[in-house]
Amino acid sequence: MILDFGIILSVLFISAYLVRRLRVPSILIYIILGLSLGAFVNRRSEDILNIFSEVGLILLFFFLGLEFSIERILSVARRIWAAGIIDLIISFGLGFSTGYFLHFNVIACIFLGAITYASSSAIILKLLVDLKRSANIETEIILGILIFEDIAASVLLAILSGVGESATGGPVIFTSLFILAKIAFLLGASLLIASAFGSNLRNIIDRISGEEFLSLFVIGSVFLFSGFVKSLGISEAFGAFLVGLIFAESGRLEPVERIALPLKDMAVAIFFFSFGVSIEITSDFNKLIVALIPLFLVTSLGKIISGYLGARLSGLGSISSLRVGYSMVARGEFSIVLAYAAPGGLGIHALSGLYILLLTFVGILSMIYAPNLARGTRMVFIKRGSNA
Amino acid sequence: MKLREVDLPGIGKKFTLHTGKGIAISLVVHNTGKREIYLFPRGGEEDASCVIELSDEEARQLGTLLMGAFFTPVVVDEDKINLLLKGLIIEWIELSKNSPAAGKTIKELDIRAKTGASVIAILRNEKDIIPSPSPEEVLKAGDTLIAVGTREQISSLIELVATRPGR
Repeated sequence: MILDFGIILSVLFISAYLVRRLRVPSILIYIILGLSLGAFVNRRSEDILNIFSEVGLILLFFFLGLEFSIERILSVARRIWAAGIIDLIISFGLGFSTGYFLHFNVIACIFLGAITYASSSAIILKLLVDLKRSANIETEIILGILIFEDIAASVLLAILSGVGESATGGPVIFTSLFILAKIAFLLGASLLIASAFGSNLRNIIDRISGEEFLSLFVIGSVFLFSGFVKSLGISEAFGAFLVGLIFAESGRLEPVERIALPLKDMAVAIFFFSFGVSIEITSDFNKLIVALIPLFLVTSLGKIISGYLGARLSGLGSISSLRVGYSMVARGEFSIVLAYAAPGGLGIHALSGLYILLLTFVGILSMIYAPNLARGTRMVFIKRGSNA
Repeated sequence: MKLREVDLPGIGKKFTLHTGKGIAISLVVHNTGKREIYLFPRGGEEDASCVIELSDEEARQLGTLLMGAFFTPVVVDEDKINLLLKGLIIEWIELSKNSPAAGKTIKELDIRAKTGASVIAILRNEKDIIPSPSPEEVLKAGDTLIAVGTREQISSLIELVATRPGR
């Protein structure tokens, strides 16, 4: 088992190393490797892969939470709420509707809407920096929408994971309200703890900053809280996000990130690899394609349009707005997490897997060629003379 | 002159300066410490025409140069020209190893009273700038005094710090 694990890690490393010049985010590589090598992963390795996969998920959301301070959440909310809401309504709505037309049941449609909603912050962020677009005007809007999505998707994840847990439970309305209440409570409690104990936390971290047990403290706290949240029936990822929020208020990001980053990087790679492994393309391949194509087309177009509208609303010119739209097509980590949370009985696992794979690939291309696509689209569709 | 500061969550901070000529210069300071300068000639919706990446060291060096600490050109500014015309100049005076001023404070040397010139800043070790030095500041060999005064006053100051005591 250890040998197998070592082999997997080495393969991941070699592949990531070989393609790093190609500007392809490593996420894609890990998923593809998982997909292709899935058959060779035997039972014994699965255990250790699952453990690290869950660790990766938790740390991914922990780091996400670290990026947020209460002040930032408020400033983002003020600036970008319109674009964020448009993105949410269009993307979620289109995903849901397409699922409906494909004859999936309501719960499955809700999950599909959520899975197709959030763009991949990881991919888009990396490409923005690599493509040297950090200073472009449209980048500000893109980042704003991504932040909005981070919060919205985390809450969605919390809600849906609760739904997933009790999918067979009593009357839907009652369970939904109960879940919302739990989430609201957790969110409220975390924010309260964050503002009340932020300075205490800062002192603790300062005091043990150089010690070897800093990692025990940080990782331990994260798992403790996440596990607690999971026992309440809500996704542990949401719990990790909340811990990140709390730690963010301490202001001591540097030592915390430094100590958790190595583990996070490794575990997240395994998380994406495991996702690739879990994609099982069984019999009905044709049925899958029939569902996949419309979903892909509709939701990609949806992102382009919602991005464009949101940017225009924020005052950008037509070309910049189109670039926002084309840059937001990529899906990734959030969609994977939401796909994981979906109960097996809904029959959307394979579809989600292929969808995410396709969207990752197309999304990256769409973003790289956004300038050209934007110019072309403007020429064809926006004939209004006023030169922006 | 418009200077705009924007938070780029996940990347860092961006500072944009629109020059009088319509060019937009953006400085992105990444969370990782990397600095990048972007030039947008028409300030419009296209990609930057030029991107320069600077290391920490390079950024500081360039910053110091831009600040004018090593070489200040004559500025095109009414008041400053008048100053020049009235005969006031700014001079950089380096204290050699044997300088009698080395090891003494500004107060001890009584620069203002003896020469009439004012030391407005001290450049030390080629990179540290001490603006408006206090009278208790100890001058060291190798320091460069940045002084302002008339030609005669500056000459006096040069003599003061260059000649051996008891001339």
